[in-house]
Amino acid sequence: MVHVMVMGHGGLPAGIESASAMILGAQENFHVVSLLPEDTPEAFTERVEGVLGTIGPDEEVLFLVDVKGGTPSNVAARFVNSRRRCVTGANLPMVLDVLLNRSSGATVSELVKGCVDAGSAGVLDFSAEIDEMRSKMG
Amino acid sequence: MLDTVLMRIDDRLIHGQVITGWLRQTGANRIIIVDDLVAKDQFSLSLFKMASPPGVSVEAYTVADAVKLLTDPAAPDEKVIVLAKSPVAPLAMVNQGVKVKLLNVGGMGAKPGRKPYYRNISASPEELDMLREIKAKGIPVEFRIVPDDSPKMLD
Repeated sequence: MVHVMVMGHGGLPAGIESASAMILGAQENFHVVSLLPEDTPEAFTERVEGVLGTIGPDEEVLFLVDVKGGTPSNVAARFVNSRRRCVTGANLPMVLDVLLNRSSGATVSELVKGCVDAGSAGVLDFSAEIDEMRSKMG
Repeated sequence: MLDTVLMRIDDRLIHGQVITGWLRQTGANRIIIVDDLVAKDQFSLSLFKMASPPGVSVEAYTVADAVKLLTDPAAPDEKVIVLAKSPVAPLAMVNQGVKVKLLNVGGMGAKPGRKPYYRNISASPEELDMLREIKAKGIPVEFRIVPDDSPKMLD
């Protein structure tokens, strides 16, 4: 199973983890690495290396990072290779999509494509949809 | 001569929306990273370019090359933001004739030898001395993460 590593600022990674567990139950091969306010980039990099050290080098890993251009994404970039891929803009629809699809044996590349679509599709003007629904109800 | 509208210390250098705020505040379109390691590290420099808004140029120089560039009277009158990871490069630049209106300290993480100084900025006694040396040259030294924060001046 592809390992998932959620990386981001402050409480976001742990928040995504607890939210996912509420919806889909506790997950295995699921790691979070948080950038704390007092961290240097080097300290954060060491923690990422520590987690990757517990994962075999032949395993596939999907980094889900909160925002492109932040320190977590700049650090994740260094670890990207053919088996370790990275998607930014991590949100709950994206993470749930990955967790639902990886148990069927999807490769990391397949998961990347699906979760970019799921993460993007989850962003919409819901109130506009509600307005339309109400107008159809008459 | 290049106009250093802001010299900023942030050990994360370019990250997220923070640099966008400073670019807007200062009107600069050009970022110069001064760090002997980053100057030789194409991978890091490419990442920082990707993390910057489009239309903004990002370059990295060693301290020696940065001093040459920033004191060159033939260089265009362009506004630049100079970024460094610690007080070392700013002090060296200021000592070698680089003119700057303000030194902003926006991020220094916890490390052995450093103690928390203000919010999430930590500094060692030596680093605080370097900042005071810069202040003694008539350059205001402030602690502020984003332009909308109120600055804390170095005491």
